[in-house]
Parts: sequence; structure tokens; C-alpha cells
Amino acid sequence: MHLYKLNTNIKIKDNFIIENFINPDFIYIPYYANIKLDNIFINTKINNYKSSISGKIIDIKKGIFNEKYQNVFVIANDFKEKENKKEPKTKVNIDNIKKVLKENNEIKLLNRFTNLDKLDNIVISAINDEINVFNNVYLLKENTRDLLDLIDDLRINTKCKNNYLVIKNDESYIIDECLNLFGTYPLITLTLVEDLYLLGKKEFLLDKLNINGNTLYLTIEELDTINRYLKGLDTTTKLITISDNKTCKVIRAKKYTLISDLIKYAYKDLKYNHIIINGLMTGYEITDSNNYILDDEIKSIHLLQKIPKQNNECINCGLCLKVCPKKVDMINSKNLDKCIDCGLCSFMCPNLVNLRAKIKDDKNE
Amino acid sequence: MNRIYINSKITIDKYILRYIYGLIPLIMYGIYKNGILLYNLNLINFLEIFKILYLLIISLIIYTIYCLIFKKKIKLNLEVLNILIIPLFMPPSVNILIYTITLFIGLILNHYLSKVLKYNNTTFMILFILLFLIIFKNYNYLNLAEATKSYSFSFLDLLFGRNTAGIASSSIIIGLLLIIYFSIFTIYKKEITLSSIISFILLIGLLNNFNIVNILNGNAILSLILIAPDMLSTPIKRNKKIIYGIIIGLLSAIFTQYIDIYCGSIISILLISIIYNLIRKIDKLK
Repeated sequence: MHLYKLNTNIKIKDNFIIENFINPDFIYIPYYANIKLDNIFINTKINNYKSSISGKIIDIKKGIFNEKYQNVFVIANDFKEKENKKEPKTKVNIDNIKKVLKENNEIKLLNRFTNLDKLDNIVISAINDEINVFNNVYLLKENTRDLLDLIDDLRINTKCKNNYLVIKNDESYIIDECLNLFGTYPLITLTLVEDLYLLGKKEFLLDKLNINGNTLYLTIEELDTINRYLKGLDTTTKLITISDNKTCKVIRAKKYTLISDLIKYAYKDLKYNHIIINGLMTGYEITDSNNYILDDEIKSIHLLQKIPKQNNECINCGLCLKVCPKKVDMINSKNLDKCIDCGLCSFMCPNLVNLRAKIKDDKNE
Repeated sequence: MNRIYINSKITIDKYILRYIYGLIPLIMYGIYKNGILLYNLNLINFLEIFKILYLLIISLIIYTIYCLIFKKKIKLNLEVLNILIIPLFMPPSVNILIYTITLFIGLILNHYLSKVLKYNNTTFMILFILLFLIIFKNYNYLNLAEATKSYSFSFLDLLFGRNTAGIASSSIIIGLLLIIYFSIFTIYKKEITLSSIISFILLIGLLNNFNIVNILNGNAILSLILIAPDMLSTPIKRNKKIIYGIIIGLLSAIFTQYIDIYCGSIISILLISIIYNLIRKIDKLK
């Protein structure tokens, strides 16, 4: 399987400082049932969502949560960060991991821990596929020792012999950090891979590294989530990458804040016309940032002055077929079921044809 | 909406620009062979040295007029590339007036015909112009020096392009270097070029006891490099591209041998592109 490096005109130099946006005036949580709560503490459960601030419900308004318009509670921050009870620290073992994941409704993550008998490999990936998204490496840099400890604990608990931490080979700052600590973890292998698109996906990474057998695959973001649950650390914030065409900021932000508030904080004076959520390759544009709420699925925000023009005229160059990792024939509409919607065909198309949309339309037909 | 918000650096206009850069050495050699050398022999005047440049400029002007008539946007696209390739294959003695008029008519005719069926537009227009050159008795690939003297060329002479061919389509060595240069671009269909050249050389060699003069035919080889891998009218899958190239190469050898040494390969490219696209059309209708 041949993978490609995404050559683009955008080159961002990251300064490697995580900024904090942890004191928003308001947060917004979906409204399903009329709840009467006078005082809301941090981590108070409101309709399955834990409040990320302490304060009071002051209003109900329309907002966009998980890409859907719905009614949301407006919670005003009292800036006291009051907490009902501190989550206790839990000992690291597989049962406890399953327990905390179940308690916190992390079903997807929980499923990864279902078949751990005779585990052959543990692969932890610090790769972000999307262009100019750095959440995984920043998280690793922020908590290198804790995360390496957790990988080592996983190794001991599962008795797994092959343990890999995978990082892109051009991210020297985090490689240095890991190398300084790796002496303490001799049974974890630091694996460096080329900066190729799609290596952030399990299937392609394992294929590239030629890893076979029963494998526990986790991203650094997932590992960090487990770490926070186990150690009772703050889970009310999340890392998000915000970038324009020239610069990039990784921000630790309170969950359920408004996207517009976050952008105002990150790029106060920036003029932009388009807001792209979750990456330039597979993301989507939002128009109503004043009502869009930072949910768990949002990982990055790109602010663009203009977006590339699109064309409908195929020039029959065949580059889309050549680059498709799944060998989908989007021109003759064959093998469309195999499409993983990675956007590589559209990216590579020299005549700027929106093949991603074409595949979707053909599938629907 | 399902779309992407970033594109690769290599867009079609950049590709075409780089392709045009690749044509510059051929044009320079054309100016040297059919301009400077003839001027030194006092066969032409100073202004005639740059005949290929005039043809290129005329082509661009005609294309601009065509775009204005059909209300098309004037931009770097595959049509511009085709228009710039046409003059390279013209006979050195081409009459500029006939060229201008026939190119204009050819473009309009091509505009309507290509709506009915896809085919190699460049070859159609070259053959259309050559047809009128034959009618007006202006079809002669010998330049003034070649018409008055007979030459005996060595292998290197033929390779470097001193033999008879189009105004800027005689240098095989530049053509071979262009294959390497074009192969850097991922969208150049090099499989068609390579398979057609190999099959052409093998068959023309077999038909002529591997006589080097027949094998190193500038017009034929450069048309396989510059015209045969046309983007719009050729297959996109690797195996199909190779088969397509082989058929073109074999037919080029036959047409070059039995129909016309200078435009045999151009006829074969047009013919195969028509047949291929007809099959495709019938296949789609099914």
C-alpha cells in the first residue's frame, strides 16, 4: 500500500506552548429534560454531560451540538471552580480501566479492551493525520512521563511483549523528550515513521509497521483520557488546535464553550471568511460559529480567508485512481463501498474536482 | 458539504506551465536547425530564423479569438498546451497564411466534433492543417538546405535531430530527456509514451532490417512523446495505458512505413484515440 505525503503551501511553525482558555463566561449543554439545579458544580451531570464549570443555569437557547440544532442550557460561570467531590485515584489494571470507561460512558474506547487475551502488540500512536493539527504530540509533550507510565502499566498488565510508541519522524521536539525518558522504559519501543497521510489510521499504520496479531491500538488522546479517568484528573477541558494560514495555536479549552468565544480568544484581530472544523481534508465548514458548541468530537478549527475553487471537469489524468489507498475507481463508480472518505483523491486532483462529493453522490444513487 | 479545503501544490495550470518549459529546448533547437543554420547558408533572411516563434504566437492569437467567439475563459488549460504543440510538427516550409486560416477553421471544427466524440484534438488539428498544405501544394518537410543538398547522417546526427522532420520536432535526444523531465509530473502518462516508442522501434526496425534512419524518425518519436499521452482521450489504468501505447506504436510503424514517413504516427494516434473512445462510449451505453 503506497501512502503519500501531503505537499501543501501551508507551512506552520508551531511554538509548542499550550495556551489555556479555561475561564469562559458561559458554557452550553444540551437540554433534554427540565432540570432544576440551583448550583452547578464542576462535573455535575446534566443529561449525560458533565458540566465543565461551576455556576448557574440562566437560560435555554438554540445551539448546535454534535452538528445538530437543539435547545441548550446556558450556564453562567461563577469562576469559583467548585467541585462536588474529587474523583479518587484508581490503581492501573485492565479491570479498573474497563470500569472507569464504563462509568464515563466511553463505549468506543471500552470496546478496545474487550479481547486482550494473548495480546501480541500494544501500539500507541501520537500521529495526527490532518494537516496542521497537533493535539496528539502536544498531549504527549504535556504528559510524557504519565503517559509512558501508563503504557508501561498496560504492558505489565497484559504481559504484552511488543510495545510501540509511534511518532512522526519530523517532530523532533517530542522525540527528544521521549528519548530523555526512554531509559526508564526499556520494553517500550519508540518507533518513528515518515510524515505520510493516513498513518493516523490504525489499519494503515499497522500495515506500514508490518504489525500482525492481536493488537491493542490507542491514540495518545485516548490514552490521555484513560489516564485522566484513572487518576481522577481534570476531564472538563480538552485540547484543540486552532490555526490560520500562517500560525497555529494549541489551546486547552473548557468543553461546551462556544466556538466563536474560542476563536475570539485565539485570534482576536484575525480576518477570516471560513471556519473549518476537524481538518482541511475530512472536515466541514460551519457558518454559525456564534451558536456552535465545542463538543467532544471537535478536534481542530481552521480559519481560512479563502477556500480553493472547485471544478467539475475531469481531465482524465487518472491521478485519483493512482493515489487511492483503497483502489476505489471513482471515475467509473466501482468499489465505492471500500471508500474511507479520506479525501486524498480530491486533494490530489490537479483540476480541483470534488471527488469526495462525487463518491458520496454515486453511493447514494 | 462534502469537500476538502486544501489542494495539492500541483494544479493543472502549474503542470501545463512546466510542460511548456519542457518545450523550450525543442523550440530553441528548431530555431537553430531551421533558422540559424539556413540563415548562415544565406537561404533565408534574418526574420525567417524565428518562424517557429511566429507560428506559436499566431496559435495563441487564434486561440484567444476562438475563446472570445465561444465565450470561453482564457486560462492555462490543456487546450492551450495542444495549441502550442501543433506548430512544432509543422513542415519548415509551412505557409503562415495557410497555417493561420486552417488552424482557425480546425479549432472551430474541433470544437463541434469533440462534443460528439472524444479523440486526440492535437492530431486532428495537425492533420487538418497538413491536409490543406497538401491541397495548396505546400506539404514538404524538407527545409531549404535539405531540399537543395543530400546529406549522409551518422547515428549521432540522427539522434541530435539533424534529419528531416517538423520545424521543431527533430531532436530525439531532447525528446528522450523530456520523457525523464515529464515523468517527474505524476499526471504525465509515461506508460503510453514508453510502450509506444518501444513497440514502434521494434516493428519499424523489423520492417527495415533495423536501419537507423527509419528508426530515428524525429516526427514519429516526438509525436509519441508529446501527443500520444494526451490527457483527455487516453486510458487511465496502467495496463490499459500500456496496451494503448503498444497499439499506437505498432500502427505508427506501419503507417510510417506505408503511408507517410512524417505524419504516419500522427494518423495512428488519431485513429486509435477515436477507436478507443468509441469503444468506451459503447461500453458506457451498455
